[in-house]
Amino acid sequence: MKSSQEKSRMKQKKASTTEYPSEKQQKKALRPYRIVSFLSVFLFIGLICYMIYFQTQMSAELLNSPYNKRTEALAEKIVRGSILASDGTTVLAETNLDSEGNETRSYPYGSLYAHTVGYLDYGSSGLEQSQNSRLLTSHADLQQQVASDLFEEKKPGDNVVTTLDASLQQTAKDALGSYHGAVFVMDQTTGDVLVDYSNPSYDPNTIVDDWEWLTSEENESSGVFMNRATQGLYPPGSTFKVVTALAYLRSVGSFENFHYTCTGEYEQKGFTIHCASGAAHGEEDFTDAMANSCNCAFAYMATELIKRGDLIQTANGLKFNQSFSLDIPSTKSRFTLEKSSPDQLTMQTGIGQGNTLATPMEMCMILDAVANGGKMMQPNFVKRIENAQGAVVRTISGKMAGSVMSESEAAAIDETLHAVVSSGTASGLSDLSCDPAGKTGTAQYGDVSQGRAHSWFAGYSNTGSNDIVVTVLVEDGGTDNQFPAWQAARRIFSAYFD
Amino acid sequence: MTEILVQISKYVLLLLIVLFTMNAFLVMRAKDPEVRKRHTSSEISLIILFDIAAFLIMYLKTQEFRMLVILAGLMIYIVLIQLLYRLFYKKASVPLMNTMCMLLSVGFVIQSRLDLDTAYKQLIITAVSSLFCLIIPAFIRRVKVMRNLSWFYAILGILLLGGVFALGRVYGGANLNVEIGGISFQFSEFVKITFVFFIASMLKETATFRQVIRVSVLAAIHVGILVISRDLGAALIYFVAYIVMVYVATKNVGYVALGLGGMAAASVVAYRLFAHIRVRVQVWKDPFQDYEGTGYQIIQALFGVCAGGWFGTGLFNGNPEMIPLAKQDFTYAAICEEFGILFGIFLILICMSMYLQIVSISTKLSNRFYRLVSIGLGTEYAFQVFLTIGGTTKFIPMTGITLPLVSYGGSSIMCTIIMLSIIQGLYMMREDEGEEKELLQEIIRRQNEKEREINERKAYGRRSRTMAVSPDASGSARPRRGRRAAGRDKTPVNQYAGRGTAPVNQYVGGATAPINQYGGGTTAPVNQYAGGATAPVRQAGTESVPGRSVKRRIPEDLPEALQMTPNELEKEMPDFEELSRKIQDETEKSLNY
Repeated sequence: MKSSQEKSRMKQKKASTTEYPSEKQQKKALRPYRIVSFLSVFLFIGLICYMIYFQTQMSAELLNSPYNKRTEALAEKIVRGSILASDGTTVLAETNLDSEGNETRSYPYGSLYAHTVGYLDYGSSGLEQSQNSRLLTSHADLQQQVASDLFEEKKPGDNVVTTLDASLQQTAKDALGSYHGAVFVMDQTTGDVLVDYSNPSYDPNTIVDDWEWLTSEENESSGVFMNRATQGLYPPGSTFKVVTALAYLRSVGSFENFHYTCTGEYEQKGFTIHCASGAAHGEEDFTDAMANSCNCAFAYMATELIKRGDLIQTANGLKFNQSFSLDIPSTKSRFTLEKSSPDQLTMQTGIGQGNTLATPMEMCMILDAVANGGKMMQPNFVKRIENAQGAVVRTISGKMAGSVMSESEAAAIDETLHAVVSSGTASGLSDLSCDPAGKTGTAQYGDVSQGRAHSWFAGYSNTGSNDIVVTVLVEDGGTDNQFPAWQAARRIFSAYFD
Repeated sequence: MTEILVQISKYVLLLLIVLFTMNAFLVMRAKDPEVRKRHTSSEISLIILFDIAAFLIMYLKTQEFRMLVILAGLMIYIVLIQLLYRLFYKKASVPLMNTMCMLLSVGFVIQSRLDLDTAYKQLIITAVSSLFCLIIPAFIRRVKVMRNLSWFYAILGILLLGGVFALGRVYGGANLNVEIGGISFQFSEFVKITFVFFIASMLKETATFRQVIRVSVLAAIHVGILVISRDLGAALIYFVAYIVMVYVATKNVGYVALGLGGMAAASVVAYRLFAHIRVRVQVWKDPFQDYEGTGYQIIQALFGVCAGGWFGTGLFNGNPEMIPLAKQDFTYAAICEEFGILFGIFLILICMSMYLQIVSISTKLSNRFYRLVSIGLGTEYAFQVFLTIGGTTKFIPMTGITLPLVSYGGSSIMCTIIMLSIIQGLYMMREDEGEEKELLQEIIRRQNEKEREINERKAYGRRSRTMAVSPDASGSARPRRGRRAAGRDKTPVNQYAGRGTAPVNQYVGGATAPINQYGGGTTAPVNQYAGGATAPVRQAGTESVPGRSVKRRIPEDLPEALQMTPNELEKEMPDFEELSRKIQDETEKSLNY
């Protein structure tokens, strides 16, 4: 009885706290209102998130857009900052003021850095374009800013410190000499670009005067404005065997059981491939095939041992057919092969001919992944932003382009590339102290009967610290073997490490 | 020197708007009138500080005396509108008015920055329309007939839109305009209001399928005219208002799905049919593809938005004049350029607080017509803000409409002020209702208290009773259950009575007497009560309850209060006649749900 009494009392309590009678009904009636208001609030929140996204992700590109005339207005308030080499003192581009306050942009090294640093007239290019808003932003000391405001003077813009190594860039130029071609050198672990040299070049100091000639029809074919390192597309030749080797690893599992007897030619369905200069390499394991750069062995691999899907996937995984968003313009490397492609094309593709075209930068990145335990770094051109007094405003570190192969795959390929230097086609580098590894290449182009070929070298050092990846392309260097690219690479390695 | 002040001012202005936003949200949460008052008065001071700071900086920068004239005009306007409202409408929503004043202030600052002539014109339009609109809240409160003019609204709207389309000239590629006395009127702005009134009056009672079809056909005519006259922004706003209103009126998601499906189909058809729609979408996807042509406007706006970074360039340090239509459609880009993205974000939050205030008014109104009007107008406002800000920043394709209260545009500002005056009227109605409701709640509270007291005494008495009473105790619970079932019996009257009086019936003793009276006031429940256990009191002895025949005896030794006669007890209870009258009123209103 007691409990029932308590129960009823509880009920009373409940009932007596009942508030405004139609509340529940009202709540039900209001539910759609609530839903609608939630949805609308969601729209507002969406707008706010978009604004944040806009400012953090989109605005840099818009600010630097060549269409953006606002930067011209900015230039009236700010003296454009300088572009410096990685040492922070070597000036690659600066604005000089004469006694009347007129500004001129000067490039002390002339054509040496033209493709990276770029120019300002006739639209703009290179770092001058991509770093435009940074150069026209002033983070000068408060004191100086206030003083400039007081005297209505222009403020000094920020300086862009690049990753470029001034002396190594000069070495690259010397090494390439009068040959057309490109040298691209990256730091193995950070992706910082130490050398980005392309020949022929132009002098940005006199671009206004030279413009007519530079853009004239007879000069157009030389492609002076093209940065051969990041935009030039060349058949990769034997350097592509690194890619074929990785695809072989993925199809077969290991290099161990590979055996091939090279007779100097390999025939498949009526199409024959020869080894370079008609050599017959005889009995070979995988490392020998790589060291000898044996075309027959790799053509055999590509047609008989590697699954075609693996080759396609491996090439795409190594960033062929992919564009990069870098601080300077770059072109995507091309690789086209289909599962239904004829064997003839597959053979050629396996040895870096066929339809494949790569930029020196792309080959540099692939070799970087091998040297770096499978991690491919994205080339990085800007190290930090400093204010006019040299205080750091922002540090920029390299990004990874992707983890493109496993550590064990990288190690296996690394071993074969060491053999290329110790006993193979790049043995001219074997005496260097930095213990380089790499791959040479002779890429035929144009009409085969003329025997014209570019010369490639892509390789890396192994000292344990500050290691670099070097890619050299010498146009026509492979014709009659007149200038093998490894010779230029040798000068780079020894200048950097000795 | 000025430059330093400009640099400082941009942080000061940002701080002021941040503080205002905080107050605007806090005042929505605050219940205590004192706290609310504190927030609203700091809102007003923040607005005034904001205006003074911004205009003084602009005066310093330009040395233009007219800056100070506009500042003075704006100050007078704000003070006057606040005073007039307080004078005529004590119950008006001050926070809503403050939000309006803040948005207007931001608008006037950027308008004066861009073009003093048009800013001056805008100030006059704002002041005159605000004065005329002072009558609107009273009108809304008094004139009940406006609830029933559905066909009038529809015909008016269609005639205006159609007439202007037939006669008017196409201006700026998209808008319906008629020039009257030097001011070009955009009738799509005015019809936005009649459109909402039309749907609300159509759906205020029953939202049957037939009725929804009627509404849909007429709404489709509105939207259709707007689409063919290329006013896509307005068309979208009308459409969203229509969907939302039909949804809240019917609570049927099916209609929403149907509506959105219909719109998707219509969009595809329109995309195929009209080149100007294809161009808009193309421009949105890649404006750079046609930089010199169709993409030019939006790209300049985007350059403007990103030019100032988080904190802006400071007043007169940017180049908002490079943005085409910076005064009208792309005002938001101009604001972001000189005040910064953060300021822009807080401006979005203020617009959101405006919307939330409107919605909260709509949820507290009990009449369905007004409720629908309020949610309709609120939706139009919110969606317009979304379309214009989203369009300016390329979040969505640009539709070419103004940011209410901030952009330059005579009819836009006029209509927004009319809309806000209507909302004020609705708010006051809600306050009227709220007072009644409070009174009612107070009565019920007191009644419950009384009952509780009596019940306690009863419990005391019960203890002295014999076991024979116990079946009663359990028995008393049963009829209650029965009554609950009756409560579900559709008519809210029952439910109300059932719930409100539930506790009363549990103590069967003397205390129940007044209930009969109360029950007498309403109608249906009376029988139920009679069936319960009330009558015995009258006889103060034994009673046979029909259908139950439980005999009950009130013990002699009850405390004094419980031995009071019904009449004596009645005196101690609130005035139930009054109460029942109120309840009847209330139920009448809730019938409108």
